[in-house]
Amino acid sequence: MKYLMSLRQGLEKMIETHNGYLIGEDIQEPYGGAFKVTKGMSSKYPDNIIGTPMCEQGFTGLGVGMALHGEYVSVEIMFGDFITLIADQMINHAAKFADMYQQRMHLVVRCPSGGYRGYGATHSQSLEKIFMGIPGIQVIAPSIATDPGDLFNRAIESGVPTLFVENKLDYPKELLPDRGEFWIKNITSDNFPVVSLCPEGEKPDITLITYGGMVPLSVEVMKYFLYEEEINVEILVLSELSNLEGKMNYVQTHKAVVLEEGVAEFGWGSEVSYELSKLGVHSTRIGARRRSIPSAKKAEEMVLPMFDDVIATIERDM
Amino acid sequence: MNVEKIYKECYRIRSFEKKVEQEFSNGKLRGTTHGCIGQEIIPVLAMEFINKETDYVVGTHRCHGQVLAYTGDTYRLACEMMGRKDGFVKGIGGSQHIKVDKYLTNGITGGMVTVGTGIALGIKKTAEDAIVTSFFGDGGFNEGYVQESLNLAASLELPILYICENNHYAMSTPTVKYSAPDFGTRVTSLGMYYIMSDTAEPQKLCNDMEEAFSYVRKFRKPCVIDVHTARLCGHSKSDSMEYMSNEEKQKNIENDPIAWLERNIQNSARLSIQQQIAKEINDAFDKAYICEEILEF
Repeated sequence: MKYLMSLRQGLEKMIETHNGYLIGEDIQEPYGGAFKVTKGMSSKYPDNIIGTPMCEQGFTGLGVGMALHGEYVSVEIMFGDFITLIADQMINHAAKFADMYQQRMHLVVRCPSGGYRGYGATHSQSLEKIFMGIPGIQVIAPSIATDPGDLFNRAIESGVPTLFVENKLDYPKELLPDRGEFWIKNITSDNFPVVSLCPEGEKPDITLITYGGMVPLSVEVMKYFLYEEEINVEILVLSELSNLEGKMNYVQTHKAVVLEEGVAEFGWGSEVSYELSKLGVHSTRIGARRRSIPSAKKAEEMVLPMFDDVIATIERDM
Repeated sequence: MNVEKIYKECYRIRSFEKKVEQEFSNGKLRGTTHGCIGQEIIPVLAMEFINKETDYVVGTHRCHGQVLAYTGDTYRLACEMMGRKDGFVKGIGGSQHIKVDKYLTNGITGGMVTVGTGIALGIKKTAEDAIVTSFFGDGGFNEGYVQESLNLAASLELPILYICENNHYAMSTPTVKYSAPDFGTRVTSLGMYYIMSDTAEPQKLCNDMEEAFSYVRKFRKPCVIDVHTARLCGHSKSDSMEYMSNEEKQKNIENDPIAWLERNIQNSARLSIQQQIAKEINDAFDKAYICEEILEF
């Protein structure tokens, strides 16, 4: 199954199970969302798909209020770059009600993020780190390594306001478990599972820790080292980004590379590295350089993490 | 309007706020406070038309009056302000972060307008009879997301009454000078029903409140009631009100709705209420001071 279809099934399950609602710009027919995730859904569930004017703060507030009233709600932010606009509703409202008032809220804010498409500085970013480390909300990222729809349902059922970080490039991709590939070694029983990918039968030499849209690139890196250099790279794909407790125990080696698409400095990878350091695992982080993401192809490739960057880093560290 | 009852509710809030001022100046409270002295009658009259069983109420940072009008519970509010475990939020919230039953507030100006609008959408979708009452201030009125929410409420036809406690100052900034063209024009341009009222005329305010609530309940559409009022105390504990002229302060005191209420009840009733409330407030604070703080968080 494809990533987008899995996600759509997850959204439909929420509507079918809980009479849930989707809120966002252009999510109704005939448009069906900027990335077509909700295509056809407003014909099928006309009362449940709520189109809005362009007012991210206002309609995220609608989502927070509906969730307080007991509804299951998912808000779509058209581009992840626009989550800056909803910081107040998430950080000063939803998070505070959840943590300070111990209020359960079935609210998931989805935000298609990421670059490599030439969309330029304000339509390509991975800004989710802004929302990590905020008590009361969680940041969850699906990937092709698991079932994005199932992950969405776990997020909405959790009762914790969630930022759900999708990657635009992943929508048309086939999910790994459905490709009949032999890489998946373990899916942990965490509510938001950690997936480990590793070549068959061999003890891994180094661990690559990543999430979301960096998974396809990581698989290519793993294949390269297996076939070209006979080095076994283990990939750990996290889905719950905002809580690392216990997750580094899944690392089987003593060397790790942490890969994210967002800016590396002051990022998620830095936090993962800190957790690894407590276990005596040596780590390096890779992410975007601290520049605005260019529209020009070569310049964009100079800013965002690329296949060659990851290869070079691992070769240096081995 | 039952003037005696309204007076008692208002007098309770005023006495509470005066006590809070006093305790702060004695160094017995920590944190901050946003007093509502002069504005008490707005939430008190609103509560006359709110059904606590079904309706939701969202408030503002200046919430003591709203909370006391909603609960009448001076002890729990005193505990909350002192960080004691019998507070509405076990003392975690303090002066401006309170949730009790279907009342909820927070410390971000205008922010609860967005949340209240969402609750109203939930009510509409589930076809309940309830409505939302959303308090906000003239300062909050200029926040971008308040304009967004008013547009959403008007276009989605949501059952919500926005009550603007318009004390004419966003902290020290005179809102008339900084609000183009005026709130009424903004609201009516959205096709939303707008009522202007004033705490200087309590009977008219009561009638206007009744009309506003009736409109929202009958038509299941939003309404803004813009209640002009005057804050007879500083914005917060650190405000000495240098931005307000002595003439304006004097005029505000003359227009104090509590003074109007006192003129319209029997002297004996007034004295009896004052004695009763004075004891209630003192008892509440005395008891709150011996309540413990939570030990784990």
